Amino acid sequence: MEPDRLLMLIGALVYTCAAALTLASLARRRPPPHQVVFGLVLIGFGIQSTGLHLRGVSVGGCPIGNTFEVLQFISWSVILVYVFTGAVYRVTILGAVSASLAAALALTSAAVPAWDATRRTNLFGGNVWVETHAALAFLSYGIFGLLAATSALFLLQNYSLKKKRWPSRLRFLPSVVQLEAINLRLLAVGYAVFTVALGIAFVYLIIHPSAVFPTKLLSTVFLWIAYGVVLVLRMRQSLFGRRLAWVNAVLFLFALVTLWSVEASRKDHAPEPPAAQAAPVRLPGRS
Amino acid sequence: MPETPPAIVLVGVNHASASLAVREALSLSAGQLEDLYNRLARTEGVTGAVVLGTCNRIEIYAAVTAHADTAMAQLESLLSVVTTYPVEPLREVSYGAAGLDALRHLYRVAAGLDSQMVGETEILGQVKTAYRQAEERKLLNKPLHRLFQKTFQAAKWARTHTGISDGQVSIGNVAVELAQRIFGDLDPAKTLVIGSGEVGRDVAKAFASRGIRAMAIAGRTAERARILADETGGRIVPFEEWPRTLPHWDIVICATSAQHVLIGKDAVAAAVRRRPARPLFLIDLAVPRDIEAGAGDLPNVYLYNFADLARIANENLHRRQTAVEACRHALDERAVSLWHTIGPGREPPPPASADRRPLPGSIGG
Repeated sequence: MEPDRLLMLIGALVYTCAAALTLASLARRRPPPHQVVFGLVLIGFGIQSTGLHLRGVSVGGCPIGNTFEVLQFISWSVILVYVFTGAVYRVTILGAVSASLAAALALTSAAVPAWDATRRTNLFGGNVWVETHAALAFLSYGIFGLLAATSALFLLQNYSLKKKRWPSRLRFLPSVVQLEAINLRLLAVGYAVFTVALGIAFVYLIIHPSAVFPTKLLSTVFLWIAYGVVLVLRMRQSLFGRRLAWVNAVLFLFALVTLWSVEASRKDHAPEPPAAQAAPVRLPGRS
Repeated sequence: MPETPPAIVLVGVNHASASLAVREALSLSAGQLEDLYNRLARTEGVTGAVVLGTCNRIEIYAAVTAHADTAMAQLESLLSVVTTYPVEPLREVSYGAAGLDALRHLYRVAAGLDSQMVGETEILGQVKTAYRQAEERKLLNKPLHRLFQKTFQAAKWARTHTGISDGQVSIGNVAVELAQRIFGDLDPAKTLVIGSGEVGRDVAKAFASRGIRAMAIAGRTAERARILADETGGRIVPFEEWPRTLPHWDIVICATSAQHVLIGKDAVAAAVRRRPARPLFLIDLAVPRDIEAGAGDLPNVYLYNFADLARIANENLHRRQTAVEACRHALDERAVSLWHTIGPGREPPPPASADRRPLPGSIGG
């Protein structure tokens, strides 16, 4: 196994350990060991980052050229968001949730070897704007992924409180109010990052309309509108609580499905990378 | 001939050995505690001492060079003199232990196993305070220092690795824990108490003790409502006005003796519509119920009645009781292990006389 792939998988296993440690603590009705979990997440993040870096060097750009790389990148984004925002929320369980989601994504990416069979080098043709668009888009997917996970926590906490079940096992979960606040912030931040990513793509689309897949365009715009509507409804307090949590979870699943369909259509169309075009791609404002 | 290291002895009374009246008579004021420490420092054969005084117990742990029974009698006399409680009645309700038995007992006390509310955590802080007080008075010699440090470690271990402190076992604390699962920080949560029955008072006090700043009491009996408001630092809301203020509150505790429903589902729905994204926690302690059961089906509304809270409290209590035996066994092993390190090669301490009252809960056995 190549070192980059191996490192990414080791990172996923370390995330799994962090998640398992938390689950074991909860099963024993003990508070999760926050520092140990955070330490494991950091170690896994370092290992996964190294793996992604090696892959990036070998493919000559941000490693998001096949399904394996995309899932790994989203997994990495989830942890990135947690590492930089987890301390703000002061929610111990968030580390375990992030680790669980990251591990699930990363291990899924490795489940089908064919997903990593084809690697595209120089995917962005040296165009930093396209690469930034792609990286930000997948970062926003990572944030939406974390949002889906915290929404799942909300549903669990809400179900437990409503049905009066498992009061002692779930007492270490964040409160309903905390989870609502976290979800709103993640939604707002994810949407902002997604908007910037699409803004870059929009400018690129005006200049090179043929370089964008219709499937990708439609699904991405739909997702952007959907998250926008959800954010507005939440701000107006028309959508909140259990319904908001379900919508967040379903939208992320939709995002993953569309990602997979976009990947599939990209293989079918076998497009030329921007570098293969006659003239170098230049975006307004780019020196 | 090498000097014999001091033995550890214990003398005390607690909720299991003495009535509340006796414990009140033996409770030490700050001046009496100072007096007791001064007398302990002057007592021949006592090389160190720690006095643990709580509302449920007074215990003296001492490092002594005298025979255990003699030392225990000395300690009882000192306690009698300081509290002016006659020594003979004191001996009838006091217990004593020496060496490993005293060590085991201290481990169990610090871990909360010997508390009236098994698994409570306040006792460890009280033991630490007693340790500091002895240290300040330079009555903490090396064996006692080591003994207490190991005790703190053992108590912390017990809390972390066993289920003795799992869950709340009083109705009030269960309600508070549920509120924390809904709101997290309870400081800003606005709480309305309707009625001032006994159970409602306990629950209201539990919330007040957790730092709820905005609490209001609405009671048909103005005097009882005023007393509860004084006890909880809350304000009075005229009973006829509370329905109008319902959307304002995050937590509503109902404990009236009304024979009909006070808060219908429609009223709750109307209140929630005015604060849709903010949860509403309804606690119905009344029998018959004050709140229509269907209100709990509304989004963002969490309704618990007395039976729900009692069931959770009982489950927690059962789990704690199951964990207690395992914890006691583990702590005993740790005590024996420590005893081997602080008293190796020594003769086992002389057992307390047969006529001495055993430690409560036959711990000394």
